[in-house]
Amino acid sequence: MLDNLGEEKSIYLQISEMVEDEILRGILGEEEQVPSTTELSKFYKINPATAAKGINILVDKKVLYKKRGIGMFVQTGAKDMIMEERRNNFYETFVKKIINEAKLIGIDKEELKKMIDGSNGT
Amino acid sequence: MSDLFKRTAKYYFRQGIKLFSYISLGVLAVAVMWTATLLGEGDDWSRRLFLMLLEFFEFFMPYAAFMLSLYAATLNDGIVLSMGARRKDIFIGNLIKQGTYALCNALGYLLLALPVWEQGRIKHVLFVIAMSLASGASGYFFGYKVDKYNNAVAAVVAIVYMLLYVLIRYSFVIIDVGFSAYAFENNVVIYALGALLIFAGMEVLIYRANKYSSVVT
Amino acid sequence: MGVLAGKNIVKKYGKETVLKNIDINLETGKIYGLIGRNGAGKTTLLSILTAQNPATEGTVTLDGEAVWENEKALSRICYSREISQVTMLGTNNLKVKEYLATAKAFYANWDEEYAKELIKLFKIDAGKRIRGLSKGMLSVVTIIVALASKAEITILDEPVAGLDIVAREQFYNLVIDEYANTGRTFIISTHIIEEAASLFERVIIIDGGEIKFEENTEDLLARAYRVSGSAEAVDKAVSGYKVYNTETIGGFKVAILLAEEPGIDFGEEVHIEPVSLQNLFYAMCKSAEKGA
Repeated sequence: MLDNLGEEKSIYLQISEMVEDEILRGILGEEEQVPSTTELSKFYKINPATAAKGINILVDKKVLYKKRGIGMFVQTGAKDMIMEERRNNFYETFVKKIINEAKLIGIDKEELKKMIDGSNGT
Repeated sequence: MSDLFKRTAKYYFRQGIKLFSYISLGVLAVAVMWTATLLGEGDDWSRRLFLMLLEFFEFFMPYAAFMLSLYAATLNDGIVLSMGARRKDIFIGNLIKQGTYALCNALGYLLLALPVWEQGRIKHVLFVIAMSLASGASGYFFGYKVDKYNNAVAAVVAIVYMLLYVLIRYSFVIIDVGFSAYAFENNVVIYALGALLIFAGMEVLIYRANKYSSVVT
Repeated sequence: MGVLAGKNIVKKYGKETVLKNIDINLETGKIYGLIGRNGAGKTTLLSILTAQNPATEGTVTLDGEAVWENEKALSRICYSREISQVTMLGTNNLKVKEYLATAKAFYANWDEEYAKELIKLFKIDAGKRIRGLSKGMLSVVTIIVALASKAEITILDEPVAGLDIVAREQFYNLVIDEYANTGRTFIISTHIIEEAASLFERVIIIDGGEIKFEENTEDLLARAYRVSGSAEAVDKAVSGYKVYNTETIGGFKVAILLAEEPGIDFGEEVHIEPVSLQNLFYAMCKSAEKGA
């Protein structure tokens, strides 16, 4: 069962992204413990090995680190690291899509700029 | 001795005991009720009761072995095979089950015969053992094959068995000079040996059939 | 790390060949999903891999040793299969608790406490006779036997048949729990694919007595694509690829295909989406029907 996991990308990638989202949002603070792969697998109804794969990506990226015998913890500076990475990928991940869609439906640059300005810079 | 074999053997031993307990109680209950309806005034009822019990016991216990063994292959063994038992252990297990049942029959017969003991009874004990074994094995083998056919065949075989038994057992009723040689009472031991031969033959057939048996759902 | 391997397995019933030269290697410590249509050979294959049915040809080994009549191998395996309520000669009068007691007698690692917990969890009446059980209750009994056996390699044949959504979820949770705690191997065959798909590290797809795929689930799905757009654009984009199924409405066409690699760019003219395991399998079945 994947309640809010979609088909768009591999499950393990979705897991690592979700954990990163929580770090960005402050739900998971630095040096805080992350749910275990067992808890994650039960929560999302996925194979524990898949959950582990997602977590291991974050360990490799140095977003998380392992305290032997206890579990996985958020690395200090992880939030900044994730932000930097996402900023670098922002264009590819989001902006390109907006531009393509705008082109498709005939919204020009000026209109687009107005829309962005009008959204009171949230 | 392998662990799995021990577990299988224990299981089949318990099956044999269980089988004997249920059947013997049933048979004795029926026998007692039957006798009660036949008794008249002033009869030596305890003697007649035990004689009747012995008759019932001697016939029905092996017969029950036959009837229930028809189911054993597919039901009982099928389950056990699906739970990881080895076929050779199952084969021996069935021998243990039938042997236990037969021996319990013998003991039961002995106990019932004590109040009315005669010299000739020993032969009957042998006969009970042999007949139980032969019936159990035959029933098992037929049940194994009958699985491919249907209930009607099983019913026919059961009736044929009963008729044959009655014919042989109560042959004294139709005795004349020619028949006396085959009278049951005179030849209990011969019949017992015959039953043992049938038993051995059936077991050979069962062994061969059992070697590649499958679990059927 | 162990391997349950089937080599050159052929199974014939009379003239009919039910399994055609199957080669399969199943590694321990993983959760496998086995999917295939009814009659594809799932149960036959599982029976043969567990020595409950003899193969016509071929060998089955666990860590190199033949499984047939082998105590060591058999004691590591539990194949909990559909219990028949009727046999040729009559109904199955066994009680649930007698069936479970037999399981206890034969599975060396049987966990009675766990079995009792499961009986309570699924609210099953152990005194009931098997012939009187509903399809769902029958499935629960096979689940209890499988889980409580604590066997290293546990195989379940359509365990959720007849179970309502709550019971199914309970089952998946139990499997995840057991796997996470003990690393037991699970091989689960099921028709309810999408619910369980994310449980399967590897998936085995069997059709017509042959194994079509035995692969890491995510790897397989990564190379499956749902290509949609105008009929001409789609036809152009998918030419040369293995297309399993297409559907058209008006001028709009959708194609499900399997490529050799993930991340293929089919161009701007068409829209690409991922495919779920269930939809991929369905497309494969439709393709097989057409005789592709």
